[in-house]
Amino acid sequence: MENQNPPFPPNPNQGNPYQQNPYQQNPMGGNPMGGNPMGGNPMGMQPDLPNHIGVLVLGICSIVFCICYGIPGLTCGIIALVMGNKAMALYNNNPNVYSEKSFKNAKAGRICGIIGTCLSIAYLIFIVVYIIFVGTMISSLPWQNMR
Amino acid sequence: MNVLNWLEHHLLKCPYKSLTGIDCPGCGIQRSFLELLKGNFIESLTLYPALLPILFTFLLLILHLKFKYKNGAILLTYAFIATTTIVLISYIIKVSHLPFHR
Repeated sequence: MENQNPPFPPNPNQGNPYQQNPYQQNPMGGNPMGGNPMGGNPMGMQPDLPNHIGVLVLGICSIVFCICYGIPGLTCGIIALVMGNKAMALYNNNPNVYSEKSFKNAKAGRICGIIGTCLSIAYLIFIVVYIIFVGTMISSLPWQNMR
Repeated sequence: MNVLNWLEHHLLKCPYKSLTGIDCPGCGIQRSFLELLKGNFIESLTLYPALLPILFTFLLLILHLKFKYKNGAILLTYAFIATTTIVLISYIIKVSHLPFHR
């Protein structure tokens, strides 16, 4: 829709101005009070949550990069967790403003981030325990008797 | 073939394996990927069973970000959980079998 008729006064050429006005006021930051956010709303009218794609990508990357002592996976998971929590808090404050699709993305990314972080922490703890165990064993060997 | 040859001689070394001698949860993924590039699916699966689910999850992620499926986020979560389970189970089996092989 290329012609942008101003919301006030309504253009007499349009059939029903009352049904078109809420959708045209959405990009200006208005809350769609009267409009139905689910049906008939074209895509991109409600702004997406910030970083919802980043949360999803980092959350899924957190399991793959469990190499290298689990540090890359831990980093990805924690970043996804923090950003996902922020995005979900934003959405919960005013659910009508942001699109539901981005909320689903942020939620999924957050779940993946939680799992990835837990696994990476478990792996890291396992490595630390292993190093402590081996170090204790080596240092408790009777080195004096081996000369 | 040249690329495969070059890749085979430039595999990254796992720091955890070189330190402790035990496989880490990601060990075998590069060899498995090489076998997949050569077309040997069965060898790829035996070397690292979770590679195909991981690739599937990433494919799903890219498709979801491009085409914005309605239930894509939930599907991705399930795929992620399944992949994680496969990684964990295969790692536990590999580690518990390791002492008997030596």
